[in-house]
Amino acid sequence: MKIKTLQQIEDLDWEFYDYALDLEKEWQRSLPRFTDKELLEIFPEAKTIIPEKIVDWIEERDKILDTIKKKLTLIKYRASDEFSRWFWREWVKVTDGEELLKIDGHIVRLERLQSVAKGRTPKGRLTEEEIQQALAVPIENLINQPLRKSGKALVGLCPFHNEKHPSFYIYPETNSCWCYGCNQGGNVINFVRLLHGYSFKEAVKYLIGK
Amino acid sequence: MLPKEAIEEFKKIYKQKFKKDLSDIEALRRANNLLNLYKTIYGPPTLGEIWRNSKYQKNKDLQRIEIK
Repeated sequence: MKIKTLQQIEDLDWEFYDYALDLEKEWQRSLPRFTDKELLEIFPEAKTIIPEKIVDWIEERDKILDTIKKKLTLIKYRASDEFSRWFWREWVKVTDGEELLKIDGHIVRLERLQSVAKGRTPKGRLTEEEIQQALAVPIENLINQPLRKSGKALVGLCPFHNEKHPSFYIYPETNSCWCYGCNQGGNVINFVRLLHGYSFKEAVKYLIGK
Repeated sequence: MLPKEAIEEFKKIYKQKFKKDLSDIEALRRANNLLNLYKTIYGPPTLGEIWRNSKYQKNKDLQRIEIK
């Protein structure tokens, strides 16, 4: 790949670039959104693949868990000082821990698909419709503070940490938010989870008023 | 994003090392920046790397612990 020179970057037609970006966003928004049930109707072969995939991910999770345990044990008993102990432990948490969370997410998602494939929604489990309903609640409606407009975004004080200068941005087009001060945010479900310390299920139920 | 306990611990260590109190926000920023830097550049640390940075790294007699 050719690296663009400074001159080439300056020559870019930024107006066209912004237009192309908007066009791409518009195209992504226009893509059809399918429920799990519809997806399984389109791709019925998945019904046989899902259980195998669940086993694969569980094996992967166990492997990572085992590695994390070994690393944490090594850090706990062999770290040279208090700072090393803190640093290596937290480094493992933010890297391996994140990987583990991602895998857990895959497993939960596949298990939900498996339940749908079997034609049942386990007791207490959220339905696709409930999740979609929760995702449609505008974030700005959940904020009890003045927001000012900045381009396509709304800006206000971050509800997750104390600050004097607003760094919390809400993007109504995608119904998402991000605080550039504490680097937290996401969609409306993530927002409620961070704000109230709820689980995913609790956040969805809170949003749909159940 | 680091949990509150990790930030408190970071503040305590920082105070011991540099004799300076950090505010919650500053400690959060510094600790996150430090870990994000390593995360971005190196990814997860390997067992070997952790071992090489341990207090027994120079003691050959103790290098019997099985590591990957």
